[in-house]
Amino acid sequence: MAYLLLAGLSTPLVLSVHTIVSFDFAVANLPGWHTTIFPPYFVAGAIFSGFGMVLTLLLPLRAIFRLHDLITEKHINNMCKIILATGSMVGYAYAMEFFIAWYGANSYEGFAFVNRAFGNYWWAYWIMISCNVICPQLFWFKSIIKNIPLVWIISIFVNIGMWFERFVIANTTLSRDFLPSSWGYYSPTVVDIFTFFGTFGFFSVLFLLFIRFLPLMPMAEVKSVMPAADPHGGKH
Amino acid sequence: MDIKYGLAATFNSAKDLYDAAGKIREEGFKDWECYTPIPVHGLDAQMGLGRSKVPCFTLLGGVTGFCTGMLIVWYMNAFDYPLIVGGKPYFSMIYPFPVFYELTILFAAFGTLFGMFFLNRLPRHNHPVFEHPSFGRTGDDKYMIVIEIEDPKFDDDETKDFLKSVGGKSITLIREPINS
Repeated sequence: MAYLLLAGLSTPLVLSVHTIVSFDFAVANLPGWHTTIFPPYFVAGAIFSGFGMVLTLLLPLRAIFRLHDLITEKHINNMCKIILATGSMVGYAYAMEFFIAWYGANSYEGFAFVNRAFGNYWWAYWIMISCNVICPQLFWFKSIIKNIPLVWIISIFVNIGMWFERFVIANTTLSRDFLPSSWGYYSPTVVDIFTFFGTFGFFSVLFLLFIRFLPLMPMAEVKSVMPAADPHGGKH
Repeated sequence: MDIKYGLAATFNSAKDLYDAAGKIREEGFKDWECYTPIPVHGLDAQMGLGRSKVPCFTLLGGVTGFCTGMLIVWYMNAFDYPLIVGGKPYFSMIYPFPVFYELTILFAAFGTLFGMFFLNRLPRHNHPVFEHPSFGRTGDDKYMIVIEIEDPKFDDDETKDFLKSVGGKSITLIREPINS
Protein backbone atom coordinates (compact mmCIF):
# COMPACT_ATOMS: atom_id res chain seq x y z
CA MET A 1 0.00 0.00 0.00
CA ALA A 2 2.84 2.36 0.85
CA TYR A 3 4.38 1.48 -2.49
CA LEU A 4 1.15 2.31 -4.28
CA LEU A 5 0.76 5.61 -2.42
CA LEU A 6 4.31 6.73 -3.16
CA ALA A 7 3.82 5.87 -6.83
CA GLY A 8 0.55 7.80 -6.82
CA LEU A 9 2.26 10.81 -5.26
CA SER A 10 5.27 10.71 -7.56
CA THR A 11 3.41 10.58 -10.84
CA PRO A 12 1.76 14.02 -10.58
CA LEU A 13 5.00 15.17 -9.00
CA VAL A 14 6.90 14.40 -12.21
CA LEU A 15 4.51 16.57 -14.16
CA SER A 16 4.29 19.36 -11.62
CA VAL A 17 7.97 19.69 -10.75
CA HIS A 18 9.11 20.54 -14.22
CA THR A 19 6.06 22.69 -14.80
CA ILE A 20 7.01 24.80 -11.79
CA VAL A 21 10.64 24.86 -12.92
CA SER A 22 9.53 26.07 -16.34
CA PHE A 23 7.67 28.88 -14.62
CA ASP A 24 11.04 30.17 -13.42
CA PHE A 25 11.56 31.15 -17.04
CA ALA A 26 8.03 31.60 -18.29
CA VAL A 27 7.02 34.22 -15.72
CA ALA A 28 9.81 36.52 -16.90
CA ASN A 29 9.03 39.01 -19.64
CA LEU A 30 12.10 38.26 -21.69
CA PRO A 31 11.66 37.26 -25.34
CA GLY A 32 12.33 33.59 -25.74
CA TRP A 33 11.19 32.91 -22.16
CA HIS A 34 7.75 34.43 -21.88
CA THR A 35 5.82 31.68 -23.63
CA THR A 36 3.06 29.36 -22.46
CA ILE A 37 4.53 26.35 -24.21
CA PHE A 38 7.18 26.05 -21.51
CA PRO A 39 5.37 23.76 -19.06
CA PRO A 40 4.58 20.94 -21.53
CA TYR A 41 7.88 21.55 -23.31
CA PHE A 42 9.87 21.18 -20.11
CA VAL A 43 7.93 18.14 -18.95
CA ALA A 44 8.42 16.36 -22.28
CA GLY A 45 12.06 17.40 -22.27
CA ALA A 46 12.48 16.10 -18.74
CA ILE A 47 11.06 12.70 -19.60
CA PHE A 48 13.11 12.63 -22.80
CA SER A 49 16.33 13.50 -21.00
CA GLY A 50 15.43 11.23 -18.08
CA PHE A 51 15.11 8.18 -20.27
CA GLY A 52 18.31 9.17 -22.04
CA MET A 53 20.11 9.30 -18.72
CA VAL A 54 18.58 5.99 -17.62
CA LEU A 55 19.89 4.29 -20.74
CA THR A 56 23.30 5.92 -20.37
CA LEU A 57 23.64 4.46 -16.88
CA LEU A 58 21.72 1.25 -17.40
CA LEU A 59 23.45 -0.20 -20.45
CA PRO A 60 26.96 -0.27 -18.97
CA LEU A 61 25.51 -1.58 -15.70
CA ARG A 62 23.71 -4.32 -17.56
CA ALA A 63 26.88 -5.30 -19.36
CA ILE A 64 29.10 -5.21 -16.27
CA PHE A 65 26.75 -7.05 -13.92
CA ARG A 66 25.43 -9.35 -16.65
CA LEU A 67 21.78 -8.51 -16.12
CA HIS A 68 20.89 -9.45 -19.68
CA ASP A 69 18.00 -11.68 -18.66
CA LEU A 70 16.55 -9.23 -16.17
CA ILE A 71 16.83 -6.13 -18.34
CA THR A 72 15.87 -7.61 -21.64
CA GLU A 73 16.02 -6.26 -25.16
CA LYS A 74 12.29 -5.65 -24.90
CA HIS A 75 12.83 -3.24 -22.01
CA ILE A 76 15.50 -1.35 -23.91
CA ASN A 77 13.34 -1.37 -27.01
CA ASN A 78 10.46 0.19 -25.08
CA MET A 79 12.69 2.83 -23.55
CA CYS A 80 13.96 3.77 -27.00
CA LYS A 81 10.39 4.11 -28.20
CA ILE A 82 9.62 6.50 -25.35
CA ILE A 83 12.72 8.49 -26.19
CA LEU A 84 11.52 8.64 -29.78
CA ALA A 85 8.06 9.78 -28.73
CA THR A 86 9.17 12.46 -26.28
CA GLY A 87 11.96 13.56 -28.61
CA SER A 88 9.37 14.11 -31.29
CA MET A 89 7.29 16.13 -28.84
CA VAL A 90 10.30 18.27 -28.01
CA GLY A 91 11.01 18.76 -31.72
CA TYR A 92 7.40 19.76 -32.25
CA ALA A 93 7.67 22.24 -29.38
CA TYR A 94 10.74 23.82 -31.00
CA ALA A 95 8.85 24.22 -34.24
CA MET A 96 5.82 25.68 -32.48
CA GLU A 97 7.90 28.20 -30.55
CA PHE A 98 9.38 29.39 -33.79
CA PHE A 99 6.01 29.49 -35.51
CA ILE A 100 4.37 31.47 -32.73
CA ALA A 101 7.28 33.89 -32.64
CA TRP A 102 6.69 34.56 -36.33
CA TYR A 103 2.86 34.44 -36.22
CA GLY A 104 2.65 36.69 -33.17
CA ALA A 105 4.50 39.43 -35.06
CA ASN A 106 6.34 40.45 -31.92
CA SER A 107 9.61 41.73 -33.31
CA TYR A 108 11.53 41.05 -30.11
CA GLU A 109 10.32 37.47 -29.95
CA GLY A 110 11.03 36.98 -33.64
CA PHE A 111 14.52 38.35 -33.23
CA ALA A 112 15.14 36.13 -30.21
CA PHE A 113 14.51 33.02 -32.28
CA VAL A 114 16.46 34.10 -35.34
CA ASN A 115 19.29 35.03 -33.00
CA ARG A 116 19.22 31.54 -31.51
CA ALA A 117 19.79 29.94 -34.90
CA PHE A 118 22.17 32.47 -36.48
CA GLY A 119 23.53 34.68 -33.70
CA ASN A 120 26.49 34.26 -31.40
CA TYR A 121 25.31 30.93 -30.03
CA TRP A 122 24.41 29.33 -33.36
CA TRP A 123 26.78 26.44 -32.61
CA ALA A 124 24.94 25.55 -29.41
CA TYR A 125 21.58 25.80 -31.16
CA TRP A 126 22.54 23.46 -33.99
CA ILE A 127 24.09 20.93 -31.61
CA MET A 128 20.79 21.02 -29.74
CA ILE A 129 18.73 20.49 -32.90
CA SER A 130 20.85 17.64 -34.20
CA CYS A 131 20.97 15.85 -30.85
CA ASN A 132 17.37 16.39 -29.75
CA VAL A 133 15.42 16.30 -32.99
CA ILE A 134 17.48 14.30 -35.46
CA CYS A 135 19.20 11.72 -33.23
CA PRO A 136 16.09 10.17 -31.62
CA GLN A 137 14.51 9.77 -35.07
CA LEU A 138 17.14 7.09 -35.67
CA PHE A 139 15.09 4.90 -33.32
CA TRP A 140 12.54 4.37 -36.07
CA PHE A 141 14.96 1.87 -37.57
CA LYS A 142 14.95 -1.62 -36.10
CA SER A 143 18.54 -2.25 -37.05
CA ILE A 144 19.58 0.69 -34.88
CA ILE A 145 17.40 -0.24 -31.91
CA LYS A 146 18.81 -3.75 -31.91
CA ASN A 147 22.37 -2.49 -31.78
CA ILE A 148 22.90 -1.91 -28.05
CA PRO A 149 26.22 -0.04 -28.16
CA LEU A 150 24.71 2.30 -30.74
CA VAL A 151 21.68 2.84 -28.50
CA TRP A 152 24.06 3.79 -25.72
CA ILE A 153 25.86 6.30 -27.93
CA ILE A 154 22.56 7.82 -29.01
CA SER A 155 21.46 8.11 -25.37
CA ILE A 156 24.64 10.07 -24.65
CA PHE A 157 23.79 12.38 -27.53
CA VAL A 158 20.33 12.82 -26.05
CA ASN A 159 21.91 13.94 -22.78
CA ILE A 160 24.23 16.31 -24.62
CA GLY A 161 21.32 17.67 -26.62
CA MET A 162 19.20 18.34 -23.56
CA TRP A 163 22.10 20.06 -21.82
CA PHE A 164 22.49 22.33 -24.82
CA GLU A 165 18.78 22.99 -24.90
CA ARG A 166 18.91 24.39 -21.40
CA PHE A 167 22.09 26.28 -22.28
CA VAL A 168 20.42 27.78 -25.35
CA ILE A 169 17.25 28.74 -23.47
CA ALA A 170 19.13 30.46 -20.68
CA ASN A 171 22.01 32.08 -22.52
CA THR A 172 20.61 33.28 -25.83
CA THR A 173 17.81 35.18 -24.15
CA LEU A 174 20.07 36.68 -21.51
CA SER A 175 22.72 37.74 -23.97
CA ARG A 176 20.19 39.78 -25.95
CA ASP A 177 17.48 40.95 -23.56
CA PHE A 178 15.53 44.24 -23.55
CA LEU A 179 18.30 46.41 -22.17
CA PRO A 180 21.24 46.84 -24.57
CA SER A 181 23.57 47.55 -21.67
CA SER A 182 22.96 43.96 -20.53
CA TRP A 183 24.03 42.48 -23.82
CA GLY A 184 27.10 40.31 -23.75
CA TYR A 185 28.61 36.97 -24.58
CA TYR A 186 28.94 34.50 -21.77
CA SER A 187 32.07 32.38 -21.60
CA PRO A 188 32.52 29.90 -18.79
CA THR A 189 35.37 30.51 -16.41
CA VAL A 190 37.61 27.76 -15.15
CA VAL A 191 35.53 27.67 -11.96
CA ASP A 192 32.36 27.11 -14.00
CA ILE A 193 33.93 24.27 -15.92
CA PHE A 194 35.25 22.53 -12.85
CA THR A 195 31.96 22.99 -11.04
CA PHE A 196 30.29 21.32 -13.99
CA PHE A 197 32.56 18.31 -13.83
CA GLY A 198 32.16 18.35 -10.09
CA THR A 199 28.44 17.80 -10.52
CA PHE A 200 29.19 14.73 -12.62
CA GLY A 201 31.44 13.52 -9.83
CA PHE A 202 28.82 14.19 -7.18
CA PHE A 203 26.20 12.25 -9.06
CA SER A 204 28.60 9.40 -9.78
CA VAL A 205 29.56 9.10 -6.11
CA LEU A 206 25.97 8.80 -5.02
CA PHE A 207 25.16 6.41 -7.85
CA LEU A 208 28.11 4.15 -7.08
CA LEU A 209 27.29 4.17 -3.38
CA PHE A 210 23.75 3.21 -4.25
CA ILE A 211 24.76 0.24 -6.37
CA ARG A 212 27.23 -0.82 -3.72
CA PHE A 213 24.90 -0.81 -0.74
CA LEU A 214 21.38 -1.13 -2.03
CA PRO A 215 19.73 -3.81 -4.16
CA LEU A 216 20.48 -3.20 -7.80
CA MET A 217 17.63 -5.43 -8.88
CA PRO A 218 15.14 -6.23 -6.10
CA MET A 219 14.74 -9.99 -6.30
CA ALA A 220 11.39 -9.88 -4.54
CA GLU A 221 9.99 -7.85 -7.40
CA VAL A 222 11.36 -10.22 -10.03
CA LYS A 223 10.00 -13.22 -8.17
CA SER A 224 6.59 -11.66 -7.77
CA VAL A 225 6.00 -11.72 -11.53
CA MET A 226 6.95 -15.37 -11.91
CA PRO A 227 4.12 -17.91 -12.28
CA ALA A 228 5.00 -19.62 -8.99
CA ALA A 229 4.01 -16.48 -7.17
CA ASP A 230 0.45 -16.42 -8.42
CA PRO A 231 -1.92 -17.36 -5.60
CA HIS A 232 -4.71 -18.17 -8.03
CA GLY A 233 -2.75 -19.93 -10.72
CA GLY A 234 -1.37 -23.42 -11.11
CA LYS A 235 1.38 -24.59 -8.85
CA HIS A 236 4.71 -25.59 -10.28
CA MET B 1 14.17 -22.49 29.82
CA ASP B 2 12.56 -21.30 26.59
CA ILE B 3 9.31 -19.48 26.00
CA LYS B 4 7.16 -21.01 23.35
CA TYR B 5 6.22 -18.57 20.60
CA GLY B 6 4.12 -20.51 18.11
CA LEU B 7 3.82 -23.25 15.55
CA ALA B 8 5.31 -22.75 12.10
CA ALA B 9 4.32 -24.59 8.94
CA THR B 10 5.98 -24.18 5.56
CA PHE B 11 4.44 -24.23 2.11
CA ASN B 12 6.01 -24.50 -1.30
CA SER B 13 3.97 -22.10 -3.35
CA ALA B 14 1.90 -18.96 -3.07
CA LYS B 15 -1.22 -20.88 -4.03
CA ASP B 16 -0.76 -23.39 -1.20
CA LEU B 17 -0.20 -20.58 1.26
CA TYR B 18 -3.20 -18.64 -0.02
CA ASP B 19 -5.54 -21.61 0.29
CA ALA B 20 -4.21 -22.51 3.73
CA ALA B 21 -4.59 -18.92 4.89
CA GLY B 22 -8.24 -18.98 3.90
CA LYS B 23 -8.86 -22.13 5.92
CA ILE B 24 -7.02 -20.75 8.94
CA ARG B 25 -9.08 -17.58 8.87
CA GLU B 26 -12.29 -19.61 8.58
CA GLU B 27 -11.24 -21.73 11.54
CA GLY B 28 -11.21 -18.57 13.65
CA PHE B 29 -7.55 -18.00 14.45
CA LYS B 30 -6.64 -14.39 15.17
CA ASP B 31 -2.95 -14.25 16.13
CA TRP B 32 -1.11 -15.62 13.18
CA GLU B 33 1.21 -14.38 10.48
CA CYS B 34 2.31 -15.31 6.97
CA TYR B 35 5.95 -14.99 5.91
CA THR B 36 6.57 -14.88 2.18
CA PRO B 37 9.54 -14.07 -0.06
CA ILE B 38 7.35 -11.88 -2.27
CA PRO B 39 4.15 -9.89 -1.78
CA VAL B 40 1.19 -12.20 -2.52
CA HIS B 41 -1.78 -10.44 -4.04
CA GLY B 42 -4.94 -10.71 -2.03
CA LEU B 43 -3.30 -12.31 0.97
CA ASP B 44 -4.31 -9.62 3.45
CA ALA B 45 -7.94 -9.97 2.48
CA GLN B 46 -7.60 -13.74 2.68
CA MET B 47 -6.12 -13.39 6.16
CA GLY B 48 -9.05 -11.28 7.22
CA LEU B 49 -7.01 -8.13 7.71
CA GLY B 50 -8.89 -4.93 7.01
CA ARG B 51 -7.76 -2.08 4.83
CA SER B 52 -4.35 -0.66 5.50
CA LYS B 53 -4.09 2.39 7.76
CA VAL B 54 -1.19 3.88 5.83
CA PRO B 55 -3.35 6.26 3.75
CA CYS B 56 -4.41 7.95 6.98
CA PHE B 57 -0.80 8.85 7.61
CA THR B 58 -0.44 10.03 4.04
CA LEU B 59 -3.42 12.33 4.47
CA LEU B 60 -2.11 13.59 7.78
CA GLY B 61 1.28 14.28 6.23
CA GLY B 62 -0.25 16.01 3.25
CA VAL B 63 -2.44 18.27 5.34
CA THR B 64 0.50 19.08 7.62
CA GLY B 65 2.61 19.96 4.60
CA PHE B 66 -0.08 22.20 3.19
CA CYS B 67 -0.58 24.04 6.47
CA THR B 68 3.17 24.34 7.07
CA GLY B 69 3.68 25.83 3.63
CA MET B 70 0.89 28.33 4.03
CA LEU B 71 2.03 29.18 7.54
CA ILE B 72 5.61 29.83 6.49
CA VAL B 73 4.57 32.09 3.65
CA TRP B 74 1.91 33.92 5.66
CA TYR B 75 4.25 34.44 8.60
CA MET B 76 7.04 35.86 6.48
CA ASN B 77 4.97 37.96 4.09
CA ALA B 78 2.00 39.15 6.10
CA PHE B 79 3.20 39.15 9.66
CA ASP B 80 6.93 39.34 10.23
CA TYR B 81 8.14 41.59 7.42
CA PRO B 82 5.33 42.76 5.16
CA LEU B 83 6.61 44.49 2.05
CA ILE B 84 4.41 46.14 -0.54
CA VAL B 85 5.31 44.61 -3.91
CA GLY B 86 3.47 45.94 -6.92
CA GLY B 87 0.33 46.68 -4.94
CA LYS B 88 -0.29 42.97 -4.48
CA PRO B 89 -1.88 41.62 -1.31
CA TYR B 90 0.44 40.54 1.51
CA PHE B 91 -0.99 37.06 1.48
CA SER B 92 -3.19 35.17 -0.94
CA MET B 93 -3.91 31.51 -1.45
CA ILE B 94 -2.47 31.52 -4.94
CA TYR B 95 1.07 32.78 -5.00
CA PRO B 96 2.43 30.31 -2.42
CA PHE B 97 1.46 27.48 -4.78
CA PRO B 98 4.98 26.09 -5.39
CA VAL B 99 5.74 26.17 -1.67
CA PHE B 100 2.59 24.52 -0.39
CA TYR B 101 2.37 22.05 -3.26
CA GLU B 102 5.88 20.72 -2.83
CA LEU B 103 5.59 20.58 0.95
CA THR B 104 2.28 18.72 0.65
CA ILE B 105 3.82 16.09 -1.57
CA LEU B 106 6.95 15.85 0.58
CA PHE B 107 5.18 15.51 3.90
CA ALA B 108 2.66 13.09 2.38
CA ALA B 109 5.57 10.93 1.22
CA PHE B 110 7.12 11.12 4.69
CA GLY B 111 3.78 10.22 6.21
CA THR B 112 3.54 7.22 3.91
CA LEU B 113 7.05 5.99 4.64
CA PHE B 114 7.17 6.57 8.39
CA GLY B 115 3.52 5.61 8.79
CA MET B 116 4.27 2.30 7.13
CA PHE B 117 7.23 1.77 9.45
CA PHE B 118 5.22 2.72 12.50
CA LEU B 119 2.27 0.46 11.65
CA ASN B 120 4.65 -2.44 11.07
CA ARG B 121 6.39 -1.66 14.35
CA LEU B 122 9.66 -1.29 12.50
CA PRO B 123 12.63 -1.05 12.84
CA ARG B 124 12.66 -4.30 14.73
CA HIS B 125 15.98 -6.02 14.75
CA ASN B 126 14.92 -9.25 16.36
CA HIS B 127 11.81 -11.37 16.28
CA PRO B 128 11.06 -14.77 17.83
CA VAL B 129 10.42 -16.23 14.39
CA PHE B 130 14.15 -15.86 13.61
CA GLU B 131 14.72 -18.84 15.93
CA HIS B 132 13.13 -21.11 13.36
CA PRO B 133 15.94 -23.20 11.82
CA SER B 134 15.06 -22.51 8.22
CA PHE B 135 13.41 -19.11 8.46
CA GLY B 136 15.94 -17.87 5.93
CA ARG B 137 14.11 -19.86 3.26
CA THR B 138 11.13 -17.49 3.54
CA GLY B 139 13.37 -14.90 1.95
CA ASP B 140 14.10 -17.27 -0.88
CA ASP B 141 11.50 -19.74 -2.06
CA LYS B 142 9.41 -20.99 0.88
CA TYR B 143 6.21 -19.61 2.34
CA MET B 144 5.47 -19.91 6.04
CA ILE B 145 2.52 -19.53 8.39
CA VAL B 146 3.08 -19.10 12.10
CA ILE B 147 0.21 -19.41 14.56
CA GLU B 148 1.11 -17.82 17.84
CA ILE B 149 0.62 -19.40 21.26
CA GLU B 150 -1.25 -16.26 22.34
CA ASP B 151 -4.14 -17.13 20.07
CA PRO B 152 -7.19 -18.23 22.12
CA LYS B 153 -7.81 -21.20 19.80
CA PHE B 154 -4.28 -22.46 20.04
CA ASP B 155 -3.81 -25.97 21.31
CA ASP B 156 -0.52 -27.85 21.16
CA ASP B 157 -1.82 -30.92 19.36
CA GLU B 158 -4.99 -29.78 17.64
CA THR B 159 -3.31 -26.81 15.99
CA LYS B 160 -0.50 -29.05 14.79
CA ASP B 161 -2.97 -31.47 13.21
CA PHE B 162 -4.94 -28.61 11.74
CA LEU B 163 -1.86 -27.14 10.11
CA LYS B 164 -1.02 -30.51 8.68
CA SER B 165 -4.52 -30.82 7.30
CA VAL B 166 -4.32 -27.50 5.43
CA GLY B 167 -1.13 -28.60 3.74
CA GLY B 168 1.62 -27.35 6.00
CA LYS B 169 4.92 -29.14 5.90
CA SER B 170 7.66 -29.50 8.52
CA ILE B 171 5.56 -28.14 11.36
CA THR B 172 7.90 -26.80 14.03
CA LEU B 173 7.42 -25.29 17.45
CA ILE B 174 9.30 -21.99 17.69
CA ARG B 175 10.87 -21.30 21.03
CA GLU B 176 12.22 -17.96 22.11
CA PRO B 177 15.38 -18.52 24.12
CA ILE B 178 15.71 -16.57 27.36
CA ASN B 179 19.23 -15.20 27.64
CA SER B 180 20.94 -15.84 30.92
